[in-house]
Amino acid sequence: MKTVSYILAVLMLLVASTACAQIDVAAETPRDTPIPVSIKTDIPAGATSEGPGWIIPPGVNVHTIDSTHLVVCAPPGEYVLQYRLDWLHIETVTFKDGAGNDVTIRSYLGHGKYDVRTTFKVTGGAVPPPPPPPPPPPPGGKYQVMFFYEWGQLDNLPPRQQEILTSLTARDQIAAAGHVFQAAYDRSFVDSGKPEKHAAWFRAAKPMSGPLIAIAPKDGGVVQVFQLPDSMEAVMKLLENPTEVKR
Amino acid sequence: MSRLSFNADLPVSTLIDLGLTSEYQEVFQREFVYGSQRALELGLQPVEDVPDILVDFDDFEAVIKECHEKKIFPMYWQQRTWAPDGYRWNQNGLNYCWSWSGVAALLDMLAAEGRPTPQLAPVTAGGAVGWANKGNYLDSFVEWVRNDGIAPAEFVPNMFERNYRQYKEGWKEAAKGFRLRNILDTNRRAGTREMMRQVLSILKLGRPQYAAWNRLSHAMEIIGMLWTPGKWMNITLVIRNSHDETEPIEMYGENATPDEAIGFMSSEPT
Repeated sequence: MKTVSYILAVLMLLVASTACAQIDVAAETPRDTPIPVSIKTDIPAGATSEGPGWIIPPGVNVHTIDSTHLVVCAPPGEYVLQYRLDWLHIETVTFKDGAGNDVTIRSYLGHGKYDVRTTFKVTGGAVPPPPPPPPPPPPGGKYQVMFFYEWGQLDNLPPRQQEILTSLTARDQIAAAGHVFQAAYDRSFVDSGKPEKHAAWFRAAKPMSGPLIAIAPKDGGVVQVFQLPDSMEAVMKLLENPTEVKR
Repeated sequence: MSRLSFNADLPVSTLIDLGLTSEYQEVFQREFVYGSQRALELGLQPVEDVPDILVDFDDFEAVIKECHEKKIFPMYWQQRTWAPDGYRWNQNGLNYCWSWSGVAALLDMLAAEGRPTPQLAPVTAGGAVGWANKGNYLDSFVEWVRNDGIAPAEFVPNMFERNYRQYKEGWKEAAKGFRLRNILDTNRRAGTREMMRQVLSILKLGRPQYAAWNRLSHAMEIIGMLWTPGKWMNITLVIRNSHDETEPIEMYGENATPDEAIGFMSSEPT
């Protein structure tokens, strides 16, 4: 009996094969439509499996129904969906040998491997524009402040505007009011986009010319850009409520 | 003020004894003529190309007063950022005044821009003279600092180490983050009074000047000006020297007029 079982196990090992399967998903779906996805596998009950299973591409949202059924949703585009898994089925069998002793073996029953992929497409127009920016920060908030100017034009600015850009007492005045001064950059910084940590400031300033003041909430948020006021008094007034005197 | 104040018209030997300069020729007379093609290629834009910049002689007193009241002169930026009271800026016997003064000007310009001003190691510009312990042209340093930049002190084993093989890996890349972009050149040939006018005109924009005095064979940084009635032109230069002083020094007299003064106007975006 023991010999028979061993022979059976070896035979099953020889006949075990790599399983074939196919991911079932519509090749094309209009945008904003949930897409059912499934795969039919023949993994026997009691088998153990190893591997990632579903591999979802970036940008695709997933709702998992069970291990072989999903519903996905994605913006227009083409995506590659993958399913990768190995399984192994082993059963413990106990029997008596000719002398009446119990013999226990781990009997190999089968194994399989899935590595399949498919492509699906979500059709439709471009992604709609982002929602309008949130309302500007409430009056009286504390801000980050940045200046932009052209160094070659510095001498042509009225003296009180020059003062805003070159005076340490002006910077101190901004800090004393609870704001954070970031930098006074030449236009070349806007054009180069460097340093990258200030890229959002440069993007906001790019469409405008002349000496500028850029203001953003201290904790981050929308960068607002204005022409540089005529005096430090006007700068401080602008910082009290950056929406009121926008030009 | 109690800080050291020199009459630049004193004999050079006296100025050497006072520690303003050394006997060694640390800086050479300018290599490229003001406004020449080579100077322009180096980015040295003549200050006379921006005539609006020039301060009227009659306005000297008022302009100087305002630049102190509103803390526009680089001396204030410097004191607030990288060189607070008591800070020693010391080339320590190296013949590198041309780099120590240039790096001081670079830091003051960065301070006015609101950019970081970490301790930089002037010795990392030594490549401009083949890492030898020797003097240099200001123009040569300008070319170096525009292209290669100055590495932070954390990359050198000590501030005076000229063997670049001992620098930490990545020093060259780090130096690129501290470069000069726009420069204004002054015209010494226009005369001493006109030269001082150009110097004040750049200071008035909150920008320092990297300067050389041929008589002293020395380079220093101009960081401000005082209105001092009775002295030549009623002015005194405020200077950052690199001979281990704990504060800026003052220099007056017609011989205080630099032979070369280069305004560091803006840094390279990095």
